Amino acid sequence: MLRDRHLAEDLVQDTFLKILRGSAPYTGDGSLAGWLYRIGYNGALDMLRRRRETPPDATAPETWTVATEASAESSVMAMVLAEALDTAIQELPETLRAAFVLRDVEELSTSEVAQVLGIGESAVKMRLARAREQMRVSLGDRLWN
Amino acid sequence: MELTCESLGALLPEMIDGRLSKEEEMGAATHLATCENCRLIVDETNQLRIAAREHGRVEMPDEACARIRVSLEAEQARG
Repeated sequence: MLRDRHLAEDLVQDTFLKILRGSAPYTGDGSLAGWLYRIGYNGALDMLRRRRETPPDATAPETWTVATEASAESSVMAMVLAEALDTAIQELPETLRAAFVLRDVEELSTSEVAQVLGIGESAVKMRLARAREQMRVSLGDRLWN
Repeated sequence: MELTCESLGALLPEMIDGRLSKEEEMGAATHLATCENCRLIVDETNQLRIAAREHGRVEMPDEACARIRVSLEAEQARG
């Protein structure tokens, strides 16, 4: 979501620090996973707001490795697919990207995604449908055809 | 239940999540049997879901995990 690995690492740290400090206590509304992602998502939005004031560093490489358990034989294909996925995800508008990553990558339920994003389930479904269609077309050009 | 390309498209999210009713499933199967374009869209969207689940995650580098662990332990020590 942040498209910057250093910011993403800072976000993970900030998220767990907030939990440790009790500054965003779990109230029992929604799932624990949804609560955790919600803190992270809000933190990401804050970072994005701040970052909009300065242009992104285009020279900073994205060096997080892709999580695959592929054999050596299939690892090249897995890497190609992962790279294409990552590129297509980055090309999604911010709101669609969040819905897609939370639902289809992180595999949260629709109600949990709604909890994280602070929107209704029907809005989640709408964003997800648009994100999947954009991703499908984008990856179709790169992979399926 | 007769489905058009448009009505199948509206059902696509539920179809991909495996949440169609029996009647909708039958209607979708009938339509897909004769519509190559919709079949392609459904196949590609299914592939996308599988790819996202299996290859969409990234792992944080070990040094970043270690740095965060140290930071959290320091916070805990401060009470």
